[in-house]
Amino acid sequence: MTPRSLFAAALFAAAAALFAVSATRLLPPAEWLSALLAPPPSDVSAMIAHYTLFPRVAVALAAGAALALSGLILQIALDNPLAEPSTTGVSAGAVLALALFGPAGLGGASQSLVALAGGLTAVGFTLALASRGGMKPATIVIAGLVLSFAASAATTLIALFNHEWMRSLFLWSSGSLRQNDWSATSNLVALLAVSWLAAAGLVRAFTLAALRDAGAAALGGDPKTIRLTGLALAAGLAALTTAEVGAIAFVGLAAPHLARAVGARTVGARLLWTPIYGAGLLWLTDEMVKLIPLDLPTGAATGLLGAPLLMALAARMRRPSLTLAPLSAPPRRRRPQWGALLVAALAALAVALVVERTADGWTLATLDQAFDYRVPRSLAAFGAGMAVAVAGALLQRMTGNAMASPDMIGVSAGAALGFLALLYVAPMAGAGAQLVAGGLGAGVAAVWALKGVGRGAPPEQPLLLGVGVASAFTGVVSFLLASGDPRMALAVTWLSGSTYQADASRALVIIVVAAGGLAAALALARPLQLLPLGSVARSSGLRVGQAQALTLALSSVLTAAATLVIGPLSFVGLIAPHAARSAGCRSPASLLAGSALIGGALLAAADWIGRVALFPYEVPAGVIAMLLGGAAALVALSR
Amino acid sequence: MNWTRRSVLTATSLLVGGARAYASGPRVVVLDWALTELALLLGVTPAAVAEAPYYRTRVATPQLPTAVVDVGLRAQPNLALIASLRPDLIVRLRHYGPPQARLEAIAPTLELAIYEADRRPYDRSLQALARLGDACGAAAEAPAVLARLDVTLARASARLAAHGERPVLIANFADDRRADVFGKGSLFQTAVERIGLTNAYAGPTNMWGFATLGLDRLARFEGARLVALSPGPPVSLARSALWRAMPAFHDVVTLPPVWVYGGLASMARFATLLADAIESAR
Repeated sequence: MTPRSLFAAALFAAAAALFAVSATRLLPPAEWLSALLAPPPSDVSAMIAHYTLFPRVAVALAAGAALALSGLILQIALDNPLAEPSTTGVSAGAVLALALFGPAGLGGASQSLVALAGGLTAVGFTLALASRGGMKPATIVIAGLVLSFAASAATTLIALFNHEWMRSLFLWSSGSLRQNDWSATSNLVALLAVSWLAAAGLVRAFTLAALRDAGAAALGGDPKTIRLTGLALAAGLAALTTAEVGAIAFVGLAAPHLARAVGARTVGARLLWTPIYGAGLLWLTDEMVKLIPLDLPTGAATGLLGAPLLMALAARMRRPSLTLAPLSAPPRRRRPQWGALLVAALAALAVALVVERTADGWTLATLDQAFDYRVPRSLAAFGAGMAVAVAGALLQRMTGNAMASPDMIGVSAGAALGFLALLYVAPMAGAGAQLVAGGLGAGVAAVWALKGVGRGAPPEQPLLLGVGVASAFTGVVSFLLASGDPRMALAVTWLSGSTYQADASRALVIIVVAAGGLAAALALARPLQLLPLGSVARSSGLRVGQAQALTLALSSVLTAAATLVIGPLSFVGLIAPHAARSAGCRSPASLLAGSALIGGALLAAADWIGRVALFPYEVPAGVIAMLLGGAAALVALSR
Repeated sequence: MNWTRRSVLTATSLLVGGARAYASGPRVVVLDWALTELALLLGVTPAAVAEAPYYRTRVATPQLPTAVVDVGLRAQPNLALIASLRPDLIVRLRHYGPPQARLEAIAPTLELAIYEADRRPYDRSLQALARLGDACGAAAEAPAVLARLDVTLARASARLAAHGERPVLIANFADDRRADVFGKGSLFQTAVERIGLTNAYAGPTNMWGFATLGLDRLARFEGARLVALSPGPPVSLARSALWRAMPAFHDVVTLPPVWVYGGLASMARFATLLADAIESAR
C-alpha cells in the first residue's frame, strides 16, 4: 500500500470505529441493515437511525469530498494555496441571503434554495468583477474577499437588531450536518459525481494551469479559459454544498494540502485523492463531534480540529510548495496624491469630532461631555484604523500576497479568542482583565507566528499558521453564536469592530502605538523593498530572516493593540494598502504612510456614521467600514 | 396623584392591576426587557428602555407606554443619550450590556440578576422585584404584584386540574433539525410546576434554562405533550417522513410569542397561554 492509501484507510477506519460506537448506543448492529434499507415504522430507534443517523454519514462524506474538490480546483486555478471554497464569496453570499429572505425556521428545501441563490449571486459578482480585470488570480481573490466582507457586514447589521431571532441563521452558518431525511444526500451525491467526472476531463487543462500563465500559454492552453472553467466548477460545487450543509470551513483548504503532503504530486493524483481525504476528514470530524455532549456544530469543530492540522502542514511546508499570487493592482497615477489623502483624513476627523446627533436632532458638538464619548471614540477609531492599515501594508509588502491581512497572522484572532474566553468564563471581568486576556491571546499567536521565521522558514508560513488560528477562532465564534446565549449579542458587535468601549486612556494608547508603529515601519522601508524579491534580497546582503521577523513582530503589535481597543478589523488592514496603491503610493514608505492615512480616515468616518446613522442605535465602526470600503472597492474593481 | 387603569387586553395585564404610576417618581432608565417587565408590574413607568419599539412587539405585555424613550441596543445602549436624559437611576441585568462602571459614571446604577449559574430565576426575580421596588420608591407595590401573580397561576392551574394532563416538553424550534428545550433554570419550569404539570425534560440546561436537542433526542420523549413556542415547528419539518413517523410529535400545540429570557410577567403570560392551548387542544 502506498502512504496515501494507507493514510486514507486510517482516516476512514477511525471514523467508522467512532460511528460504530455511537450507532450501537441507538441500535444493536444486527438491526443496522434493516434500519438503513427499510425501517419498520413502529420502531422509533430504527426510524431515527434511518432518517438522522445514516444520512448524516452520507452527507459528511459527500460534502467533505465536494468541498475538498472545490478547494483544490480553486487553489490550482487561482494559483494560491490559501484559496478555499469561501474565497469566491459563496458562504457570505448564502448567509446574507438567508438573513434577508429566510426568516427563522424556514428549513428544508426552501432554505437550501435561498442559500443557493445567495451563494451563486455572490459568485456571479466575483466572476463578473474578475473578468473585467482580465481574470487575474489576484483580482479574483480580492473581489471574492471584498464581497465576502461586505456581505458579512450586511448580515451583522441585520443580526444586530434580531440577535435572538437568528438562531437558525447562526446554526446554519456554523455548518451542521444534522439531517432529517435523505434529500441532502441525494443532491450532494449527484453533484459530486458530475463534478468529479468534469474535473477528470479537465486534468490536462489543470496541469497546464499549474504551470502558471506563461507556461500554459506556451503549451497552447488559454489561461483565462482554463481559469474561468475551473472557477465556475469550483464555485458551483461550493455554492451547492454550502446550500445543503451551511458554512463548513477548512476542509476545502486543508484537504488539498493533506493530499499533497502524503504524496499526491501530479494534478491527476491530487484530483483523485483530495476529495477522498476531504470525505474522510469531514466524516471523522463529525463522528468526533457526535461524541461531545454539547451541540457543537460540525463547521465549528472543523475549524477547531483543523487548526492544529493546518499548523502541522505549515511546519512541513517547503518553499516550492507554495506559490503566491503577485500583487497586481496597476497604479493609475504616477505620484501619490498626498494632498487629497491628507484632506480626506482631516475632513473625516473633523466631521467625526464636531457634528453630532442627539435626541433633539443634529447639532454642532459642544465641549460638554465631549471627552466622555465623542472624542475618545473618534480618536480610537482613527488610531486603530491606522494601526491595522500599517500592519496590512507591512504584511502585503513582506509576502507579496494580495490576500495578506492582519488577521491572517492569527494575532487578531488570538486576541479575540482571549477576550471571548474571558467573556464566557468570567463575564464580570472589567476592562483591565479584558485587555490582559486579549493581550495574552495576541501574544501567544504572535510568538507562534514568529517561531519559524528567524530560522529561515518561508514568509508564507506564518500566513498559513495564522489561517489556522483564525480558523479555530471562527470555530469558537460560530459555536458561541449558535449557542443561543443572549450575551453573544455583545460579541457580535465587538467582533465586527466597535469603539463602544473606547475611553480616553484607550484612545491615547492606540494613537501612540499607531504613530510609533508607523515610524518603526518607515524605518523598515528598505528591507521591505527587497523582501518580496526572494533570492535577490539575499544576494543584496539583506538579512532576510531578521527582516521578516521584525516586520512580523511589528505587525503583530499593531494588530494586537487595535484588536484590544476596538476588536478585530481585518477588512481595514486588507483594503487600506490596496486603496493606497491605487492612490499612487508604490514605494514601501509611501505605501505605509498612505495606508495609515486611508485606514485612519476610513475608520473614523465609519465610526461617526455608525453613531449617527440609526441614532440612538449604534452600528459598529467595523460594519460600516466594511460596507463603505467594500462598496468603494467593488466600484474600483469594476472599472 | 395619578391613577391609571389599564385595559385588560390579555390575561397578563391582570398582573399590573391598578398599581400607582410614579409619574413624578425617579427617572429610571431600564436596559433589559425582563427588568422592564418588573418595573411595569410595580407601576413604575421607565423614562427610557433599550430597544423599546422591539419590546412592544416581542415581549408585548405589560404594555410599554409610547412616551418611553428608546435608548438603542440592549447590548450597547447609547451612553451619550442616556446621559442627556439625566436619569436618577439606571437598571441593568447582570452579565448583559455595558460595564457597570460606565453606567455609574452617568447615574447610580442598580444591577439585578435573574439568569445565573445557580439556575434559580424565580427566586432571583422575587429579589429583583423587591430591590427594584426599594430603589424606585414602589416597595409597597411588591406584595400586590406577587398576590396577582399567584391568582393568575392558580387560575391556570384550576383550568388544567380536571384534565390529568401528561408531562409537557417545552420546545423552541431553532430550525427543522433541533430545538431549545426548557428545563431547570427557566421561568417556564417554575410556571409548569406552579400550574400542576410536570416537565418531561429533566436533563442539564445552560445558564438561561434550556438545552439544545436534536430531533433524535426529541423523539425519545414518548408520551409527553410537545409544546412549541411561536412560530412552532417549521413547515418543512412537520411534512417530513420522520416527523410523521413519530407519534410523540403528532398533537403538538404552538403558543403565541413569549419572551424566553423574560421575567415574572412573561412567566405568567406563558402559564396562561399554556393553559389556553391545552384546554383548546382537547
